Amino acid sequence: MIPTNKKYDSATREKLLQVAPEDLKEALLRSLDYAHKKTLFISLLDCRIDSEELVQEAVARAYGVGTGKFDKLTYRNWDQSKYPLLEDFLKSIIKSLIDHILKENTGIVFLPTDSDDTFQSEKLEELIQHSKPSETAEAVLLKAEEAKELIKLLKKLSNDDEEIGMLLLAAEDGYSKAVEQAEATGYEIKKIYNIRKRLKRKLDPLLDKLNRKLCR
Amino acid sequence: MSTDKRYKDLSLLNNLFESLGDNENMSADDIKKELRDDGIDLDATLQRLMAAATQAAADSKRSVLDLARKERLQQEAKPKRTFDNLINWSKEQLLAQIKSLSLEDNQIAAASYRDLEKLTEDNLRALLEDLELLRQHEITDPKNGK
Repeated sequence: MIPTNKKYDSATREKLLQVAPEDLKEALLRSLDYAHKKTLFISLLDCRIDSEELVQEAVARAYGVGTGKFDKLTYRNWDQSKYPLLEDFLKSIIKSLIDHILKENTGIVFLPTDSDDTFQSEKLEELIQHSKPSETAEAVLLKAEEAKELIKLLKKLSNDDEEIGMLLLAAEDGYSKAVEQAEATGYEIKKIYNIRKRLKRKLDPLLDKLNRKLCR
Repeated sequence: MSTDKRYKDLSLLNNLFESLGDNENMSADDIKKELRDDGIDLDATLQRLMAAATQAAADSKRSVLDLARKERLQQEAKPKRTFDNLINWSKEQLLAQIKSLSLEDNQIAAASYRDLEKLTEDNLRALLEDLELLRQHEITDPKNGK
């Protein structure tokens, strides 16, 4: 039985059907890359997520026929004033999915990266108090410990490599896009991508040692 | 750990993960290279994703009819049916009526039934009623305006 939802806006389906196959393929490529790289490092928090599955679910939700297997939601309407490009729309769905899975499995609640200060202070209490009711105190502590260890490692990398330090400072200040980080650090965009690659290489050995459980 | 410190740490992790996934200014070729370097069989993965998108599109079109069908069944449960005028229509008349509908309605019908000619009169009547209900739904629901 295909799920149906009256709240799904059929205009979203019509817009999707108008996307040319080569544009769809590029949007899928960029969404897959986003999901893959983001989830790769989230696995450091003892939570492995299948990136291909995320993209498939995002596309299905965009068409109003998601499985709802992660959070019971089956559709997402496309607000093109907010997400002019299909890849941005799909990435926003993937981001919500990852945030939900992470919250359910690690108790970590991430705030929207583009949220304003008012929203952040309002959500702060929720962020501090959140923990999964079914989880034991030990499990919560272990995850908090893993996050702390990762933070410690990042601080060490910051001390060893000034440019990585600058990038991490920009991230701490709320900048996640290359353009924003370039502006915040005074580096060229190309350099930002090179620093990210260097950081990734330094974190890679950690990933190789891990055999994380699959989070759903 | 203080509230401010924990907030900063979470903000760092959140933005760092988001930043590592950011590819806005990267070329498609660079993205492909990096994914392949990470051991992803890109051609096969993209093929599966394109197939999943095609399937989702077909399921979505089908779901439109499912919704209309639900409404028809609810209508039928009421004492008087809205589409009594179709009862005396022949199979040829029903087929002709479906084919005379808009291109979009025909695509939806075709997405659900490969061969309309093989459907029984009752099934054709039900399909026509579903499409008509769908059209009425789109007219009355401003969200569906194109």
